[in-house]
Amino acid sequence: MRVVRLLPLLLLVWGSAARAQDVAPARLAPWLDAAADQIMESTFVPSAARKVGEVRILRRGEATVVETLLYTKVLARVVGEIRKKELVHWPDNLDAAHYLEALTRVQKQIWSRRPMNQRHPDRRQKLWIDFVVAPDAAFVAIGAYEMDETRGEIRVTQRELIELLEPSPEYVRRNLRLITADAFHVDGAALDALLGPLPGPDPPIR
Amino acid sequence: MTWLLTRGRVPFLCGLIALTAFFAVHAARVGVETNNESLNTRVPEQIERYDRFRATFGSDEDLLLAVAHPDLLDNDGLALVAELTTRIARIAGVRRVFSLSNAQQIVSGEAGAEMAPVVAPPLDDPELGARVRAVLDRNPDLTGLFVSADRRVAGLLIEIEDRAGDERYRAAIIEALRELIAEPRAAGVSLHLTGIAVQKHDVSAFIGQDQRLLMPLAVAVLACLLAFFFRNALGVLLPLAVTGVTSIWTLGAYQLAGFQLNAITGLLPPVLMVLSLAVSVHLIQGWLDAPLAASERVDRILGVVRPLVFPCFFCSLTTALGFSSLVTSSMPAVRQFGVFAAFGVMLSFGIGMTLVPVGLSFLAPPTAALRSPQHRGIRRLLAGSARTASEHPWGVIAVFGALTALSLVCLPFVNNNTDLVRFLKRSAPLHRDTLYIDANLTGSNALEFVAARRDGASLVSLAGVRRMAAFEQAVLAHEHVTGVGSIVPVLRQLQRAEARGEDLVLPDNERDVAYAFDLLEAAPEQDLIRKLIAPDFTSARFNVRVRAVGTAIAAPLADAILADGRRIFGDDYVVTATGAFYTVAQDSNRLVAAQVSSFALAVTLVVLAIGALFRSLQLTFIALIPNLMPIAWTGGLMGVFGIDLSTGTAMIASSVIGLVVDDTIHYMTHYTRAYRGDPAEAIRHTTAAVGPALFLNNVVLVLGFWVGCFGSFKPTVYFSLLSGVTMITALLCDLYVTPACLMLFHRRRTAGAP
Repeated sequence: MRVVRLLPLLLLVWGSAARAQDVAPARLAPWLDAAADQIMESTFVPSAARKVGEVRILRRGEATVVETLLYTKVLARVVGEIRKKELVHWPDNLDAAHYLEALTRVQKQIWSRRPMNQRHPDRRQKLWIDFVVAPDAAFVAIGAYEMDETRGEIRVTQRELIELLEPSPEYVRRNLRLITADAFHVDGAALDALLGPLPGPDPPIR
Repeated sequence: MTWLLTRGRVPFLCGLIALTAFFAVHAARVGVETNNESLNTRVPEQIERYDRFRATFGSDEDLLLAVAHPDLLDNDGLALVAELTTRIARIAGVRRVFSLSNAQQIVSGEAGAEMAPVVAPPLDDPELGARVRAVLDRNPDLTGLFVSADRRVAGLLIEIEDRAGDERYRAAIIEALRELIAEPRAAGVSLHLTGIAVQKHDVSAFIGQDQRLLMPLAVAVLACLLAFFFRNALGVLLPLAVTGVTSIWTLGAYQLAGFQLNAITGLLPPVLMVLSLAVSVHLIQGWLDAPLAASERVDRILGVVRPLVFPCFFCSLTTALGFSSLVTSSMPAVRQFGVFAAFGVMLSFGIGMTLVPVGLSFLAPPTAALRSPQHRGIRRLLAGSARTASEHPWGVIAVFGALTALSLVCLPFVNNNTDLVRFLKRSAPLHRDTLYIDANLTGSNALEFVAARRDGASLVSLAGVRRMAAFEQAVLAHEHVTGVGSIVPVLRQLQRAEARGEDLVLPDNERDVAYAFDLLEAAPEQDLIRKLIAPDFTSARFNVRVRAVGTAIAAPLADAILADGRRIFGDDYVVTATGAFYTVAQDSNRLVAAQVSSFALAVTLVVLAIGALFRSLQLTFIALIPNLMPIAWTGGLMGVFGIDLSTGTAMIASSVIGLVVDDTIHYMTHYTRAYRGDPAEAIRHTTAAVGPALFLNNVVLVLGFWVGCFGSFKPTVYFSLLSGVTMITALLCDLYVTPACLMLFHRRRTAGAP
């Protein structure tokens, strides 16, 4: 009898897992494996005093990844801020529109999972966004995660991929640079030095 | 004494001049208190609670500027509000200015609730007024603080910096604002300013103004009176020299003790001038009235001084004891007044008993007895009172007793009320402006309440929010409450914006409550939020706006709100009251309670002093009757005329008991010497002998006290007026009740004798 009651929930969990598997094609699997990530640089956003997350520059094998780890009680508000910036940088851009749609879906999914009990020790909603530029791929992955926090230092303990997008390489490469510039407050040569050469050919300017 | 009047005269005068010069230097340095600190009682728990409140929520000393404009919500009116907001924000020491022009509302945005300006650009939009009206209709919480209900008066809330140790910047801000207010403006446009800082500033300014006015006025009044009564230059100069030296020494000592003048001690100089006259008047009157036979200078002076030393010392002692009983007050200003008035009175005895004889020793004794028409008139009046008292003692007792009984009936009508705004005269800008703001915007006073969980845990829970909302509604139901500022209206606006609804409702489940507080935690306007709730959400502030009422209403209102809080929040929470206005209300109650014990102490000390003087229980009892009667009458008068018992008027009984008893001491001392078995004859003789000096002394005291009626503060005006009235009634009692009682006392003793 109990199994019957739990059936819809089990189906939902299975469905979510199946969807995550669906969104990750096998060819991208190496670039999604964060087990051996090397953190090159990291900074709190928007500032150390009022942080809602952090932006990291990672080396994942040959890929360069700019990873945004959001951990905030007001994720919808932070996603709203990302939306504003995205629309400024990418007006009327289909890739940006798809990215924002996916980001909102993930945010809502995480929101729906928040605990009902207000006394829960950690009510922060945690969302990750990876802009990945690999030698043979450029894509955006979004998901949820769990973490440990020791003296303000974040360690991701569990990652769940929820959305995977393969927009134009131009969009991924440029947005990766924009996010880095905005988070680290650098531009020009300093930005190039921070990121290093991105793998793969530069896409033609359109 | 003989040495002092002969070879010691010059060294004495040199020493006196040197010491007076020393104290004069310090007296000239007496400052005026700018923060009214000494008007607050020192109750550690109250101070600690208020300090904690300010540390958590910031200062509650914001200023409020009202801008009246016939077309406030049209472009011109809103432009004026915006211009004033910008200009005031630029004044040094102003932290922030909140007004319609920069106020924010919470609206639904793409990502949920977000802030939007109440007055959104473009500001030259012809539809601006309509847009702002719509926003105000949608956000009723803005009405009261930022705009009046009729939309003709705007409120600018001015938050000033908290610069510890800097006593000048507040005054500079207020002066800058007053200059702004004084600028010429279009017809129908006016500006009004109020706030605790303005009150402190104006009180300091009025104290300084009163010092400049009352001191010269007191000197002029005393000089005129002395000249009128004595018709003699020495009769003017010697008493004025005694009062001058006494005042200078006392003020110098006051400064050396590290004190500054406040609304209460501002009365010290004129009161001391009056109190220090008695000894001089008695000595000079005695010197002038002495038999012509005693014409040798020193003998004549010694003949006058010796019989007066003892009664004058006791008179000074009882007066000083009356004032010193004020040390039981918990208000530093009242304690300072009591201590230094007592010091001044004893000092005046010492100076009067030395300087006057020394001064007289330089003069040739009068060759003819002083006779003047006014003295004849006074003597006729005195003879009439002596005759009435000795022939109809029971009638006198009955009439005065009936008046006392009537006064006692009226006594319960006296209201314990301190109203800081109405302390000032109607013409005072603060009085006018505060009542204007009170009538048009939110209440000008604020009672502060803080709710917290007893276990120190967070208030973030559905039950916590519901309790806060219930408390808010209970507070609003009280008369005189015009609004409640708290986190509750913010939560309602947040919920409306998050739910994209129209109704201002609170979150109705734990998750939404928690998220609302999450939004508050992440909001950019942290300074504003921190004024309403502690950073860790463990305590919430309720800023209860109250009409410009006195403490007679505010104190029970605060108690009733506290009772509501304890009932609504329950045992798991603790609700406390604090804030500048609440402190005043509590201080007022404490002050009156302290004055009752102070008066009891004064009466006890005076009784002991009289008992020591007469060494007779019966005479001590008789001496008390004519002195308690006038105080009861004054209390009755206060009840009949609706004069409140406040900081100033609460001091009257304790201050005056020691003063009015002086006349009785003089009268009874002389009577006991004059009594030779015929009380009627002794009364006639005593009234004729001491009556003129008592009359003159009382007229001097009364008019001297009444100089204070030209002061700027109603409590000090009432103190002066009623103290004078008490002196008059006390003289009447001494001329009628004292002899009537003595008559009956000796009749009874004669009748009981074998």
